[in-house]
Amino acid sequence: MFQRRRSLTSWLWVGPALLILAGYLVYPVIVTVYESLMNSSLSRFVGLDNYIWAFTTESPLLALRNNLFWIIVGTTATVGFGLVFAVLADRVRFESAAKAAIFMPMAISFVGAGVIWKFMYDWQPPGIPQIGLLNAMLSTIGGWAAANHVVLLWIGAIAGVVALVTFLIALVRVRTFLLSALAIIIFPLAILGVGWLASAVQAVSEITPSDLALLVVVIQLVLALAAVVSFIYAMMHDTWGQISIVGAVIAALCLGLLYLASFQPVTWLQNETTNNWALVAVYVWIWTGFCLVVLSAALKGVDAEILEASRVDGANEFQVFAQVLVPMISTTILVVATTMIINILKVFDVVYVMTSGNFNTDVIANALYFQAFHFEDFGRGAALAVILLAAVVPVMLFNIRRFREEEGMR
Amino acid sequence: MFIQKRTGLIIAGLLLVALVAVACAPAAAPTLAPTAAATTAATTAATTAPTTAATTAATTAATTAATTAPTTSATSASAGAPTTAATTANLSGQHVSVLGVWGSSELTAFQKVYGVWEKQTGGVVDWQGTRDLTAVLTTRVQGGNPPDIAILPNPALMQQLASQGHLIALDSFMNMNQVKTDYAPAWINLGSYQNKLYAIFYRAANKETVWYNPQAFTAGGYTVPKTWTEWMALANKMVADGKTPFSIAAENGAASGWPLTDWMSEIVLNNCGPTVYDQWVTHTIPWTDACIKQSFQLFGTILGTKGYVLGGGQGVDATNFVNGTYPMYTNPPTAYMDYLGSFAQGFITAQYPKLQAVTGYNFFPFPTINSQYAGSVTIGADVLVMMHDTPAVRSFMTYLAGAPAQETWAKLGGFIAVNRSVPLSAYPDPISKAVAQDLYTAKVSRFGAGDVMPAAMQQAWWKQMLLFAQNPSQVDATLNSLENSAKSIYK
Repeated sequence: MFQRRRSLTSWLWVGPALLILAGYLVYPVIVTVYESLMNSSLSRFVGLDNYIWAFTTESPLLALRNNLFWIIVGTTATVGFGLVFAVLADRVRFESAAKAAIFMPMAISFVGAGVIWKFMYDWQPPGIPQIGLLNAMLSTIGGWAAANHVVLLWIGAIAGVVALVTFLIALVRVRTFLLSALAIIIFPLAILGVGWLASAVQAVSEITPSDLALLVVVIQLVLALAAVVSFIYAMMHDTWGQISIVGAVIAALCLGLLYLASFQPVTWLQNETTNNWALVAVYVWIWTGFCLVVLSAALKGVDAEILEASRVDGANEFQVFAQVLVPMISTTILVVATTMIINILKVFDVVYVMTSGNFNTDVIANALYFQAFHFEDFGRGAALAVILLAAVVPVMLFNIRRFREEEGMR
Repeated sequence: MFIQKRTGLIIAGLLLVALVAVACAPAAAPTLAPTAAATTAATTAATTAPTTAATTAATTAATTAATTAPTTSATSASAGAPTTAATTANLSGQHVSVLGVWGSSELTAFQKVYGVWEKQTGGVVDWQGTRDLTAVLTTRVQGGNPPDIAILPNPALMQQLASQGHLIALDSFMNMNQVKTDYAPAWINLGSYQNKLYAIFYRAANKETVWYNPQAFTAGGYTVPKTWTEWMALANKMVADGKTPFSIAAENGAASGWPLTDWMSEIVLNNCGPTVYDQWVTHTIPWTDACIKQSFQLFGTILGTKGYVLGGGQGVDATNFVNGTYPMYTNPPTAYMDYLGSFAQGFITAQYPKLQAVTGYNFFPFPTINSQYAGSVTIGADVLVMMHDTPAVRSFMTYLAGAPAQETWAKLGGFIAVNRSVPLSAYPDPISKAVAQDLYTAKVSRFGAGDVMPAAMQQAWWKQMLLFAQNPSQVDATLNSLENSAKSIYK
């Protein structure tokens, strides 16, 4: 009797939620799937035609490609920045102020953010005052650099000479450093060697030149990266090396400023090499705060004694971060990352407001909107919606399973 | 424990009640709307026009009407008797909801136009403005809540709505003899579907106009070109003088790209003639057709020649089309010519109110490309359609279609009437008069190509033109891509 009363109560509790879910989620999903198999005015059954269209036509494929770009860049950036800021904010006295500042954009609507950033990226023809912050800043710095290019040239040259001299001193002083310097000398030789090897291999095998070129480039990149890392690492352990690095940075800065002296305003949102990055940047600006807050909470849960112990064991700060902290909060990172993937898959507002999907920046949600509400092709719109849903569901299921496992461990 | 359980039950019950209320609300809304409409303006604005923009528009409309009504009604009275008796009927308190894209100066002028009708009949016009008309209208039609009157930007959308049975035939109540006197047969054909009139073409745009600054032309020793060859020679001369000949601007939010398709329409009509133009618009010839390709190459030359266009191809895409009408009139001018429809006059005079027509700013007709098709013009026009049949809507529609209402706006400027009973003397300045005359006397006139293509094709073309502006040498790739889109759209 008591048992039955209890189950009745629980049904009453979940009842409204279930009804709302059925009416506003399950029913629309079923209708959408059904509509995706119909023609534009939903009057005739066309089978999988709309899906074939979506995967064989240029414009929806472009939207799919852009969504992939968004997921990779957007998720990496939001979670990455969130994690870095969380760790850094953990160590400063004005932690809550810093976190609040980064979290603030979350309070702005996406449409509002889009409008704000449209002003940030604004472009005017060269010679006319720039209203866009980014172009205004860069052209002001560029103008200053152009006016002071003689001074910049001198500072740059002196810093460069200092960097070179101290580099040579450090080269003689440090033996481990010699090794990495050797790597730098070996590096061009290695390229030549690989190139020679490649041509030798090509002579006897059927590998195409483009495959080989790719191989060579990959090997070069790996070697270059290894050389640069070991170089900087070694330099940091020697006073002369440190001076050399500072000198090199100043020289590079002067060079960069001199480069900006000939700066022409960039059409950030129209230029195809910058526009997708510019759009993702807006999204990152909005969502980094969210990642930061969640990851920061997870960090607080890590026992300080463990970190202390690893430090006592001789781990440096980077090792503590990479080998202790990150593994300990990996579950949270995963949850945040999957949440971000779902969010980013559904991106619409920012793209619609800022470019309307023009200049090859279209995403699925925007293409869907145009198909259904501008072209009145409800079949194709529904098909795109189903594709979007199909892309989100596995990530969501993964998230739920992860959540359950965690609950089970408690 | 027991108390907690009870509270739970009560809350659950409350939630159920709330749910029932939510479920019933959408069903109740349509039945409520007409009653609300009859009571107060404020509630109607809230129920039929949910956006805040529309609500403010409605309030400003009321104030503008109140302040300007006396003067405008006086002018319309002197202009002649209203077309039909319907406009004088007592429609006190009856509402007509109108959906359109107009804003700023266009809306102010339209408010003056309908203020006269409100004064005469006592009816009330509820204006809902949106830049995203197709989406808003589609949603409202699908939701069973269309506006009484919609002002569509192109006839393609009108044909589609008519074929779906969403429009009310106008010949059922309008005096067709009057309509035939007022409108040229071509316009009546364009507005008809299966031999029934569904649309009135209202505000025309003449898209043959290249805007320039006569004083700057005189100062530079430049003369107005008559042919394409002369035009390009002039552009080269300007470049040689260190000046930028063209201002081209295509940015307009979700509709970005239309100024570029306007360019192409005008070039194709002047280069290939009306027959090829019609075949191209209906996709009976492919986009890769030789003459279409040649036309794209002509425009590609303008977009791609170094120094021709202010800001280059990316500048074209990044500059708003209204702002693109300004560079000719700065001191010194940053560009010398801007091709944009006759409505550009409104932008120029709003930004530079002191500029004198003809001496301060002027236009020359689009230069001849093929002498065989000299004097061909592309046009555009807003389309009035009716979606609810009530006495007030009939009255308002008849009023808008008549000459007096169109004359009211023509006198305010920025309006070229399609109604041919509007006298040329109504136009306030020589430029709008010339634009109207050119439109009425054009040997060949065609609707801008994008406006008569299916919406999806139009949008695909806009997008492609934006890319073309940045890569004007990619003619073949552009046309192949458009042809592929066309194959999947014209079914």
